[in-house]
Amino acid sequence: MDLKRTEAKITIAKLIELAYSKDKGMTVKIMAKKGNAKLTVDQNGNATLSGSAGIMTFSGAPVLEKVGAKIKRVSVNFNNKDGMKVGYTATFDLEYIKLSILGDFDLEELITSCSGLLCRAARALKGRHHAYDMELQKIMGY
Amino acid sequence: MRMKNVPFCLILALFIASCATLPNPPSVLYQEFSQYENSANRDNIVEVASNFFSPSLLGKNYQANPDALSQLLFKNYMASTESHFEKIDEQEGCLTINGYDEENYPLIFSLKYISHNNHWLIDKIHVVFVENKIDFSDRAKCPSDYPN
Repeated sequence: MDLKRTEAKITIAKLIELAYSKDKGMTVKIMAKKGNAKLTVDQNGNATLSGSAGIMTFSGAPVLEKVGAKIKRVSVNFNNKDGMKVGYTATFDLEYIKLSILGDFDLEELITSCSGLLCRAARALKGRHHAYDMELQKIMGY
Repeated sequence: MRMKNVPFCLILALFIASCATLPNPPSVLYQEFSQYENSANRDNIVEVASNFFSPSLLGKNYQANPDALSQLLFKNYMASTESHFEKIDEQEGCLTINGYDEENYPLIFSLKYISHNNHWLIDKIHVVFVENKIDFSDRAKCPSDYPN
């Protein structure tokens, strides 16, 4: 299976969401700090979010398992320019090809998107929730 | 005196004419890519893969790998081509293609080619989804030129 542009963007949003659900304080501290941060996930789903504000680890497996293609590595470089507007370059290493995606998102919008009913419904389903995916897609670009 | 100038003028005219008709550098890699683009499809990609991709890219079990079919048909990400650039350095080369997907969003192919038995084969494939056409590359960039 290949990986589409929108699926890649939603995957990044969901990885941040996973970090947030593991440790809200540290995720916000790292992501909201001006400057660079990095998120990496290996093929076993071991994820690390790091920046000048700190470092945290979590399992990205629940998100990677939802992606159709086998992913060998995900690497996302974040650049926070003004505290809430975050630019990113994400690279997905697949078996035969490498995919990169460039974009930006509003951190506050992403975090608050996961405090409402829609997010709870998505989690309750423990799978894909179309309306929630559409919401994430909108936040991450288009 | 006038007669002496005739050969000189003739040579000068020939030189100018030859300069004016010098062909652009041949798009060797793009021609290779076009062959892949025109001939590979879902029915034959496994059989023809070794004509277009290097042994190191394909690995050993690509025939049995379910991910191979769609990823080796990465050409399908791009519905139309805007421009292309290439550079060749003896045994290696890089081809960059700017274009649009079927929803008209811009993207770039950055491909590394290697010369294998006098044949150019794709050795690395990097598909870059960009936000805007101003992000298009204006020169040949290798996959390793993009940050990881």
